[in-house]
Amino acid sequence: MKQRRQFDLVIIGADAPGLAAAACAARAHPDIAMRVAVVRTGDEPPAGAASPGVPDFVWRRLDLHLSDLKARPVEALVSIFDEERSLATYQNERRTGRELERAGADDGRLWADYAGARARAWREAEEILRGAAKGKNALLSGLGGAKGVRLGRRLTQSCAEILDDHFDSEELKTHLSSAALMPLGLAGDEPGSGLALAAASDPAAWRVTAGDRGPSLVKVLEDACAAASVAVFESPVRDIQVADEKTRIVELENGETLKAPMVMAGRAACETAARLGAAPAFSPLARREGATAEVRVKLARPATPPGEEAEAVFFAAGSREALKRARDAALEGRIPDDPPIFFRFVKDEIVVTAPYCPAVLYTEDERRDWSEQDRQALGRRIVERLGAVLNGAVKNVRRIEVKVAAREAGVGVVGAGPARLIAPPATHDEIGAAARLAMELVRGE
Amino acid sequence: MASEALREEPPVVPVGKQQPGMIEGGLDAIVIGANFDGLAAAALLGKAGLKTVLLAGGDASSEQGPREFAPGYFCADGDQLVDALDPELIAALDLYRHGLAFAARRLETVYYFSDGGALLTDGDLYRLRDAVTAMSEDDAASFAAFSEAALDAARALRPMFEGGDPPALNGALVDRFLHGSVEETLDGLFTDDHLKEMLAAEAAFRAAARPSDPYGFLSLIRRWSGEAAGLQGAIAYPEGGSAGVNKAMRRAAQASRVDFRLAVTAKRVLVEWDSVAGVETEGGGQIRAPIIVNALSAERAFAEMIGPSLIDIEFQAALTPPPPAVASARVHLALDGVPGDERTRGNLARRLVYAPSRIELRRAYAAARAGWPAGEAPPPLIMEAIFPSAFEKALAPEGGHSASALLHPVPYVPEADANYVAAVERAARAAFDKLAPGAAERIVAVDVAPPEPAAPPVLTAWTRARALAGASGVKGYFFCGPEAQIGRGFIGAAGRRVAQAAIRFSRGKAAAA
Repeated sequence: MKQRRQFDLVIIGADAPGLAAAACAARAHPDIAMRVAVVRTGDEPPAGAASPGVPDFVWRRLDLHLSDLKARPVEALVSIFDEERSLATYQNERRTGRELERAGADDGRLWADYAGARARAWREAEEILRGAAKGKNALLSGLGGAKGVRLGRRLTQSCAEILDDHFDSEELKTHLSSAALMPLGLAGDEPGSGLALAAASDPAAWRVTAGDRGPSLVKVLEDACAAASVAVFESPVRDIQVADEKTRIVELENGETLKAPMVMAGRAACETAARLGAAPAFSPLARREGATAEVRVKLARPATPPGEEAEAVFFAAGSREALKRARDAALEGRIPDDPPIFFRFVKDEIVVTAPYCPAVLYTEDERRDWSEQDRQALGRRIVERLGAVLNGAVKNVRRIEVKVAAREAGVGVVGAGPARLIAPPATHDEIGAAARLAMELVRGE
Repeated sequence: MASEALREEPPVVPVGKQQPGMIEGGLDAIVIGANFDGLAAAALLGKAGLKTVLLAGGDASSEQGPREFAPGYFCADGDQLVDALDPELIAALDLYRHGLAFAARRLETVYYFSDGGALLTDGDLYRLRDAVTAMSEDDAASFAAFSEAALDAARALRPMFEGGDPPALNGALVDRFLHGSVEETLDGLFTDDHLKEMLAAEAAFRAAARPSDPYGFLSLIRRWSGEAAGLQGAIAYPEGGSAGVNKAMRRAAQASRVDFRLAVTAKRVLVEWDSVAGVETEGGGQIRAPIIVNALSAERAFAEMIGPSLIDIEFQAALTPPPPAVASARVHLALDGVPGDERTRGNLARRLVYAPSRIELRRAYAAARAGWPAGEAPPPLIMEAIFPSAFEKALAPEGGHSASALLHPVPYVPEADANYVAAVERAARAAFDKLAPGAAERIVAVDVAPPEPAAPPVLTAWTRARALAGASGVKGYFFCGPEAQIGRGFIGAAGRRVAQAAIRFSRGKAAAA
């Protein structure tokens, strides 16, 4: 056995949130360098995939303005509907309003109102939720007074209620629900999904891609980690042991073991973190049940994205009803018939996320875990769905790789005992959430 | 008996007062609606010395005695059991002196599980841990810690469940209770499936939110915050069911000299400047008073009686909640006999609950939300059953028994049609057979009541209640309709709170004058 190494924090997953969290944690104290390790497990998105946006505080802390980073936000979020119709929203709210108005619906005129109210709601809610994350009954005290009445309504209102209040077009409502809820695995009729709608207005919710010339965000963050002396290990994780309250032992497949008082996952929705039973920090935006599947479809040659918009994230939900149906199917332990998906084009791959998958499957009344056959069946169904959505543009599929991030059935997240692995709270701002959690952990908050 | 005394009382309304153009004054307060909270508010206002009139609007349903639903078998409509009866209200009005009586306090509960297991629990929640220890040694310690924290939180949060401000509390668990779903909270605490199923059944019972929805767990804390017969979290059977409690409240109101106008219906609230001035009645007359307490639905109390022009827009949004997704179904069963063994005899005086497995409960919610597709048998539901005839012998013929069951979740339909009744009856028989194999064969008659909409999540109800309480903007107008109540079951706290606010308002006015 190789030498066991001691760290202050071990982070599982060397994707953008994991790397940003590691670099921020290493620099969390002004005068002590924290010993931080990152484990590249192989679950990370492919190189060149869009990364989550970088919130300002991470940007400043890591001095990213000194780097050559020329990341730019993805151009648009695009929903694809039947008969090749599509609908897009853009990072520039005004542009979205203009495009909607051009489409001729009344909804365009209401857009500015809606976008403004949504952003205000999120600013207000975020402040209280960030306090609540520290577990000091901030949520409860945040609900007092007249302001609390409004916040309480927002926390418990459903996305469907709010959208029905503002808009007519069913396709626009489907698009906004998809973009806000699918990354979090919620459905539009759930209490609290209204808050997810507001959270999607966070500027950091916009994913970024590398510019044509500059290095990718992941590359820049790797450099930031190197500058902060973060150790990087390349190996899948076999297991994490809880030796005592203040000692976790991370066993890697390559035989190395890392020791640290705390282990965190860069994000909860990755296979390794889910398999190891990551306990996400407090967030009312978190999905309650179910699993996320990531399917990488490798093609013989690159496919052409619809509208040739390579810099977009595409959503195919069909309808709001389909989101609910899929969520219900997942609760009942079935793979939905027409799984809602979102996907991005990365070189010769299409990276698809299916956010409504059951955590455990039920055949009749027997419950069982995911098997290789189930994964393959899901992969085939997703490719089929992709083919239907993209109208035959998916040809020459070389390989389908399916990963299901499923929390073990019945494993709790509220946590009576010490958690093996902590994950950032569910949010659209993945980098911000991971960085904040990592800094809190090394500061011992 | 109280009911006879009531019935003998002649209608108090002189016919002339309903004539068009008649204006009646000299009153301190008008209460609209003779439901429990309306009666409570009227009784407290009267007791505080305010000259109070109660407009019942012809709503005298709560005066009915037991109904004969099959030859020789009687049932009381509405809630049978009471788990939350505002203790302050009982004390302030001395309801026991006015005929409030419990045929059974601290009902023990027997839970039945999908695998055929059963668990008898004490009526005292503080002793629930004994039963849990017997069931699951692994969870005994965590349950003991949990139940202490949960019962403390429930007691401390009671002001919030009554519509007040959230208290300052310590303990990170409370925030978790606040936003957690039923399933995730239980998964985080316990390992035993029966324990989780039992608590999930209690938390999901009569609730609209699915067990996996956020903010759902709080409904269990809300339920445990109540007390009916002097013990927190205990469940009691009042004599005559909810009608019996209503009757006592009505007598208390009469004792505090509230003027009952049983047939008068308020049509519109008169607003002068920014204050209420009185009501216009259906007959065209006016009754004037500076305080109006409205116990009707928010839609009627604000949109119809005040009118949209006087209400601000954000407030209007709070008036119309989304339609209920699911409901509970009340079923009365006539049994021509029960096995004479000791266990059955014991169980007759208990509360019996079928606690479905997790997947059964998820399927039940999915099916109820889909409206029970025709031709498919409803999945197993949560059922709570009691035998009123075990407490009041006159409710069933010699040798027979009447049972009253509440099934949840069922689809919400505005009008119960034949299909709905048939499906609910089928589900009730299936569930009843799980409590006592073979008992379904002894059922000779089934009575299905209209569906009762399920309760919205506690936080949703709380924010709506607060919005309704605070923002109408019309001085002297107080609201204690069903939307002011947070969670199911009797509370009376809404009526008590508005009465207290109205009395303060009245004294403030007197002091200013």
